[in-house]
Amino acid sequence: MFENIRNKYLYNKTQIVKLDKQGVVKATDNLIYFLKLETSITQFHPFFETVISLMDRNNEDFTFSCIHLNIDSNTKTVDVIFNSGSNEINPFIILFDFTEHYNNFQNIAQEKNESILSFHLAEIKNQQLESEKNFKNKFLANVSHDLRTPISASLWFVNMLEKSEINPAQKEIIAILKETANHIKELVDDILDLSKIEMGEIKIHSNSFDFLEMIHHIEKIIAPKAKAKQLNFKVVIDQNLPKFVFGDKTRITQVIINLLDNAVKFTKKGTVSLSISVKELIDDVAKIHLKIADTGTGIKVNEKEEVFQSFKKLHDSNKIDGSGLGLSIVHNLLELMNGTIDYETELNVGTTFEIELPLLINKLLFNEKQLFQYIEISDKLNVLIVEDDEINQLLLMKVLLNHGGFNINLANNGFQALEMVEKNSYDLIFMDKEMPQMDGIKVTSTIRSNPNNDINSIPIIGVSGHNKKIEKGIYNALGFNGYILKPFKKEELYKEIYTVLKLKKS
Amino acid sequence: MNNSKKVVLVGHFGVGKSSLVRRFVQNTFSDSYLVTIGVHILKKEIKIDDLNLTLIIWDIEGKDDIQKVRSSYLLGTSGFIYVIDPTRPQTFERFNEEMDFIKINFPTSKLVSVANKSDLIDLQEFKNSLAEKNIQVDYFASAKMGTEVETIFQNLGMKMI
Repeated sequence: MFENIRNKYLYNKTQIVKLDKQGVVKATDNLIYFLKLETSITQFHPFFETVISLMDRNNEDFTFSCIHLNIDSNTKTVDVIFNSGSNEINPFIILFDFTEHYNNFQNIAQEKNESILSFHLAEIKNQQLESEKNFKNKFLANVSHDLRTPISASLWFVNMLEKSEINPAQKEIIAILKETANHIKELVDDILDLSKIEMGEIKIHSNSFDFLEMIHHIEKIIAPKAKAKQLNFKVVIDQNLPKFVFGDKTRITQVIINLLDNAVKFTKKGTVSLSISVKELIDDVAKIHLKIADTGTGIKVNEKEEVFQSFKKLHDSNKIDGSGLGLSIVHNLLELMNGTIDYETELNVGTTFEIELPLLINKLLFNEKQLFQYIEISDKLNVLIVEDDEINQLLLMKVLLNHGGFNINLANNGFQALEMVEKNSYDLIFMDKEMPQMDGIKVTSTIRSNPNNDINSIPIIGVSGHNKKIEKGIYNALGFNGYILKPFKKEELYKEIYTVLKLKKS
Repeated sequence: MNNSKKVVLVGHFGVGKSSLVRRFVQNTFSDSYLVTIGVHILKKEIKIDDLNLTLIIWDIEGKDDIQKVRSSYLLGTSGFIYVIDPTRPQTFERFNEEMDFIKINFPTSKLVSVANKSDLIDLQEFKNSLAEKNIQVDYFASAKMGTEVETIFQNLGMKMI
């Protein structure tokens, strides 16, 4: 039964070739190839040269897979077993015809290799594009950088000229000159910024800053521009907005000003507005939502996808200036700050840009500032500063004068202080703890032991340069009512005064 | 004297081993890429001075690592031609290791290296980049243009006799 199956399916798939030691065909069944007897096997195909070279081995088997053999125009892909023979047996070759199997494998390998080659090519193309892009950016950055100095110099001279004695016609020319130079400077700055962003040279520096103060600063810059075009300019700030946050103030300002500048630029009449709110608050991170809306020309819808790409100049109007880089810079900067930007637009109705920017709230400063409340002192209090160091005298005086609730006297040393308390009436004394000759502790204890109740009860705040906190009980025992360490913030000093004098906000 | 020598072309797939053989043996070239599986064996007789030398050329399937090549293919090899594609850095990332492997495991065989497809690159720039990587390639050839192809086989033949 096996014989039948073998004969039907495997009969012409194998061939046995018997050789002599010189490689001459002595016998074969010719089931795959017709090999003429008494012919050197090397005559049929160069592959068999290798077989001949292995004849000197003793009864060793060698297997060769996937050999393409074309003999008398009969092309097959075969596996070959070669036995080198011995003294007892002649060398022989067995051929296995796996043409069909290898043809299938060829198709798979072709597909696989082609896809790997395409991948390699794409990778190389990407690298080339990247290096071209870097070259472009580097070139632009260098050119922009080199242009900045002469442009700044021109602007400086134009400003000088503007201040000189000139007639109205000249004034008008200078105004145009100034505007043109400013425009060139803006373009160059934009190109430099964008090149740096694309080269990854712009880093985000996160520091604590006053967010509301930044918005007011922006408002001051944009308001005159809007006014000059007779536009309404509105700024709406959510009450829940944190005051102190961590972020890159310069870059956030740049983003907002850029969008507002655009809004003013592309709005002929109506309103430009900036609304700021907190979208969500997770732990200490506030997602700030900024909305910049205008009633301007809008952006053509088919250009919507290109708005944030580099070097796309939007708005056809040749009356309006713009390099088209601004929005790309905004987009890239926000990306660097983990923010997002989106917009809605309608031609001749207006455009609204919406930004979401996560910022870490500075709780420490937030609380400190929240807790501190300024208390107005209507009847000025007489204060004596006992301090030997002139700079420290000035610092203390400056802070007290800023408050506005104090008349100030100065004593340069302890002896002078003791004389002055005898002669004048004081509501509060600031006593430097470290002074030559008589230190603050000695002066204080002398005051405390003065028989006059009006003198020995004067509240005294100790001032020390030694950066070492001391407990309330200790400074009280030394005769001080309060204590402050140099350097101090004005809020800290005011708080200490309010505590010592038991002042409360009415 | 045995006047035939076995030459094996090795290197990654797609570097143009088959193209070099076809250019050398049949003086033809095709731009279309046909994967080699297993091995195609061709022969060509060359003349070195007065000697006729038959090169039995084994054009084997490309492998990114010569150690993955079926060892039976390399039996009795007299000369190796290691081929790279200068447009694909992947094909010469391990160049020196591959060359060392051949030199150590086939100490009596001759070895030459070829950068094919040199018509597609800035040759000087490529040579500089090879120098930076401390890679020394013997021939900068083009199967497409026929550049250096004869020379490679002829010089290898001279080395082998």
